[in-house]
Amino acid sequence: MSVKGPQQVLELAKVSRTFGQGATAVAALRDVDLTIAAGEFVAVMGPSGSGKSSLLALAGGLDRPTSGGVFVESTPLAGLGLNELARLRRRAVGYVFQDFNLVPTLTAAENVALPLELDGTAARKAGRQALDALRQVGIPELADRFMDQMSGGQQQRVAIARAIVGQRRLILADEPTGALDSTTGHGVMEVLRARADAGAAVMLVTHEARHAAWADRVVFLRDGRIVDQAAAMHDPTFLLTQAGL
Amino acid sequence: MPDGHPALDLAPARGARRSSFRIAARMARRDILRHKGRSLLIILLIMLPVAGMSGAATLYQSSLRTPAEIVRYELGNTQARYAMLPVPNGESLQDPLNDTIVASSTGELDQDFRPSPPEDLLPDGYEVLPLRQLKLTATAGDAAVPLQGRQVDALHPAFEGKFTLLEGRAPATGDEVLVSPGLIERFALSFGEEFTTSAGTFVPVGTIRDADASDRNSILYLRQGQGPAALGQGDASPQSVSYYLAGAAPVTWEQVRAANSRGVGVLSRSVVLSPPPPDEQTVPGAIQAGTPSEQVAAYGTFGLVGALALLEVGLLAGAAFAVGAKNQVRELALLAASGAEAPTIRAVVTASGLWLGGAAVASGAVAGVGAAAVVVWWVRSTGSARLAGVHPDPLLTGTAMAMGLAACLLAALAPANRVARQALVGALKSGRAPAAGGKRTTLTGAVLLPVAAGLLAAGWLVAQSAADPDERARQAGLVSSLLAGGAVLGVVALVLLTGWLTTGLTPRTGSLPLALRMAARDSARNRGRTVPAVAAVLAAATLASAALVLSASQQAGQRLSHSWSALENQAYLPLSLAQPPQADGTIPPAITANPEHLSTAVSGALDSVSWTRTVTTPAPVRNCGFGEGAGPAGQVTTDVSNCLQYSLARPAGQACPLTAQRRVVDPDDWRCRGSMAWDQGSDRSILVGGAEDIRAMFGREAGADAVAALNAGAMVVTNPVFIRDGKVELQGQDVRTQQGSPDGSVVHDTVSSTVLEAVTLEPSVAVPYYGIVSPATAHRLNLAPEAAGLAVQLSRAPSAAEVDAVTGAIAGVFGQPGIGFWAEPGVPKDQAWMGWLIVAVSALVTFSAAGITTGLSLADARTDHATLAGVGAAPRLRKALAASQALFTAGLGAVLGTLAGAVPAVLIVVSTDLRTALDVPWLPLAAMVAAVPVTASALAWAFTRVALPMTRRAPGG
Repeated sequence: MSVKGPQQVLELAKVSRTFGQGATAVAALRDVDLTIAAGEFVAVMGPSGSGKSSLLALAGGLDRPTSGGVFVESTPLAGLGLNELARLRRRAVGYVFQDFNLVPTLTAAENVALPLELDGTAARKAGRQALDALRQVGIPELADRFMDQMSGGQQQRVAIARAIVGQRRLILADEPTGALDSTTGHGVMEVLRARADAGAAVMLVTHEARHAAWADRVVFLRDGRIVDQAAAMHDPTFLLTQAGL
Repeated sequence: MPDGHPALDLAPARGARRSSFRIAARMARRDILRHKGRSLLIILLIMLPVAGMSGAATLYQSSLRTPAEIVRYELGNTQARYAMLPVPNGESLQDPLNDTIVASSTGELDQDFRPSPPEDLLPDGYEVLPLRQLKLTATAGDAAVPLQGRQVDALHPAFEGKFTLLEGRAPATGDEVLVSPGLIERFALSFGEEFTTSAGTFVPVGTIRDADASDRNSILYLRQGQGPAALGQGDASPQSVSYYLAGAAPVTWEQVRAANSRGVGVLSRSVVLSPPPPDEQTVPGAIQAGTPSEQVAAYGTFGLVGALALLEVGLLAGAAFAVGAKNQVRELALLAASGAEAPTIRAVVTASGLWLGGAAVASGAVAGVGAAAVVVWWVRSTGSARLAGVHPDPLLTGTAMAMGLAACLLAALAPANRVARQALVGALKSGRAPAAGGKRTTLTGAVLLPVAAGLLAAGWLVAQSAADPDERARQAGLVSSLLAGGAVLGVVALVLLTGWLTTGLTPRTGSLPLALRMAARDSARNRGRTVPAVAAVLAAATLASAALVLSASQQAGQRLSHSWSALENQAYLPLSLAQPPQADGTIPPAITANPEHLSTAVSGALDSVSWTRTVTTPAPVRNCGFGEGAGPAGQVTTDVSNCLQYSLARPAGQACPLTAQRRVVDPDDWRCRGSMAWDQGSDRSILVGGAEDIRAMFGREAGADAVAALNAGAMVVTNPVFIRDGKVELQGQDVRTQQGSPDGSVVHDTVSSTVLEAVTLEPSVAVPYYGIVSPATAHRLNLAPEAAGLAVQLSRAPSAAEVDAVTGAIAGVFGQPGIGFWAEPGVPKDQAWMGWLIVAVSALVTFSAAGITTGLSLADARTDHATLAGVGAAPRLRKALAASQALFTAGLGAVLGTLAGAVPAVLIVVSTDLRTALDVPWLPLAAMVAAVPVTASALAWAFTRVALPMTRRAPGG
């Protein structure tokens, strides 16, 4: 097991994940080592099937590794039960998905307040915090709208607000701009960058080099292995080449 | 820790569980509103049986009177009613709420006890209003028909609430009367029209309703002093007079007890409204009353039927919940990604069940009780006293609501558990629910199935192991428990194996047409909705097939054991009507009728008479003294009396073999079947006549042998059990004598015996005749043959109105009522509809299940259908897919269910006394297995739109 530094929010140590068994077994991740410190924005790039989303799922405790260890704020996830993992997700980890993934039966504010309410925060107090989070992403006026009353960009901002609400310091974003136009996508990246600058650890899975350029560090995955890590270059063409795209 | 953040605390937060469930309830409520169709379907599925049970419970309770209704309907404004109470001794007590029932008594008959006339016990200080029941007759055509009469001042203010003037006015003159609406209708009278009765001729001027009796009764209301002077005294027995007390003072329980001790019952207003404590309602040494079995049975039936209905709808609703959960799976996975624990995710689906179930049972109870209230109102408005008032049953209604809510929650629980177990990542990526964890379910089903088979086999083996019917009867409880347990476990096992079967069938569909192939695979891939739907059909088919076999076998048993009084639609009318003894003990001669006059009267009253025939028998028993003082001292036959009755003796060894407990050893034994195998002899058991009489009474052509036998002085016998060595023994018995026989029946002394040559001619059905002899033989044997009756053959069963009409016509011939008209209805045939009704109910469930699963499948498969359309599939493929889906669901459920129901039912029948009457109704069963699924498929085809419904795309950025 590796030594965890005081600034590390997320650490993956020799993590492997294999789906299926026998002849049909597929290794999604192989011996991946990765750490993300507080205030660090890491972009994960790689071709389809390289293991990006599997990496994200393991980091958020949505999945368990076949081998290796995952630590969030120094807490080993392997020893946690399902309910503890659920509490970890609502207290420490914020998720942003490509398809917005808002709960359609809840308003924007209720979606944002969801992790807080699930954790026992009084509805009114959770609502106030949700409104703060919506204010941070620039859409406080949409608090009472349902999912089908908002544009895709607005929905993604709500999803980000839900990921950052409360004390959570690890934000995991899976292609958050995949379904957005470039202008809206730019706004989303601004918000994520701002959260990292405010001290959160951000892991962004993306295909797009122009979005990876917002990161402090870019991790390249291929066939389930980290093939390279580099400081973000603000040259999209270089990144595309590195990613093999 | 970095940045001064506290260590990660993963301990449960205070109030988190409550807060989570609040979110779940909110999400469920909004999901219900977003999917109104599906929600309405679930609500209706639960609501209807709850409404049915609540309504039935309300109607049941409404048939029982409350104390307030008892006093209003039976007493009006009077304080009490005094009437005779048939008690065995002076230590008996009546039911405080019912003055006709002895509720507590030792039961010992006190020979010295002499009841007092009620009028002797009436307390002072009241106005006494007598109500006298009268047996009257009225003239209808040539006949005198029975009529109820009541002599009472019905419009006395004290009777307000009990008697109500409906139409017309109060009688003003001596010949004006009030009548019930039923009398007006029965005799087609109008107000002002004269009406002749045995009490005189009257003019109805109004109709009156007795809250205690149906308007349909034909009742003539006379006032005190109306009619012949003797009417009120000699004609009315003490039991037929009630005395109502109008006054202010209540009649106490002590007064009631005192009256009971003198053989008088009292219905007291104050006692009914405030009954005495239970310890005051019994007498020392009283026989303990049994359990209220009728009420227990009613509640048991209610619970069983309700549970079965809710099982069905629970399974159907389960399919709808499964689809709801499936459509919610992405949302629920997101909830989990946001930190929701498994109970919270499960709670979203179960909260849907709670909301929908709550709405369904509340609306069901309101609808059921409301509908029952309408029925009660309508029934009472028609003048029926059957339902006393609207009495909701809180216990049964609450039970129905609880059962409905439980069914709804259970229906939601399975999909809730499934989505709670889901793999988050897979769900978020695909939006498709992971396959149910079916291994454990399949394993459980695989274990239960052989256990069920073992129980069924054990039950059958135990039943077959005992050849003695008595022993078999002793084992009936064990056998039925084994078979019922096996049947239930079998159904459970098949339900659990349905998912495995569905998956297992899919690889074998490769050679089927595309639509069937796709339907099978879709069913296998979406077991969450397929299994509950198939299970619903399976359960319905199980119950229906079991009911079909049991019902058909029971009906076959009834046919085998039917006691024929004559050929079908044939009536036998005696030609003489005995008269009761007069006050001086002499018996007046019987009234006789001319057979031709009787035939004319019957033919005139009925248009369905095929023929009539005078029946000749040995002289019937008449003017034969019975009872105390009577005995065989005198001649058995005199000029005016006959106490001789004939029968055939059973030769030794030809009696039906019975067990020690008098059960038939073998129902198929020839000695236990046929005419007179079980009947007691009667006046007309021996017929006198020829070939025509054989045809008329036996339903068979006589044949040369029979005719020759009659001509040769032999007897044509209906059952070979009476013949030995070609001979029968004709015995004459003195009916004045009575002896107990070993089998418990009463036998008479045999006073004559004649051996006759005999041949057998079995009738078309087991009519109650030993046989027939020729007139010459009858004379030779001194049987004193005479025309004793008239056989009337009808072409069809008479209606109740026709029976009324012909009874009146017969009474006209005899000059008085006393001879009823009973046409043998034959074996119950019209119960065939019951089998088809069972199939129809099963079909309804099947159509519902198939419709639900097909609709849900179509909704699920919109993308697939769009793809199919894109590759050039014909538009009607969508219809074909729907039809195939319905066929698969209905067919699989029907086949499995029919096996699960019919096999145990057959085993039950062959293990009981019904074994000789096993009847498997192949046609209804085939309809259930084949026609119902095909119809469900056709309906799915018909109701599926060819066009693909267009949906709004999700909003993009």
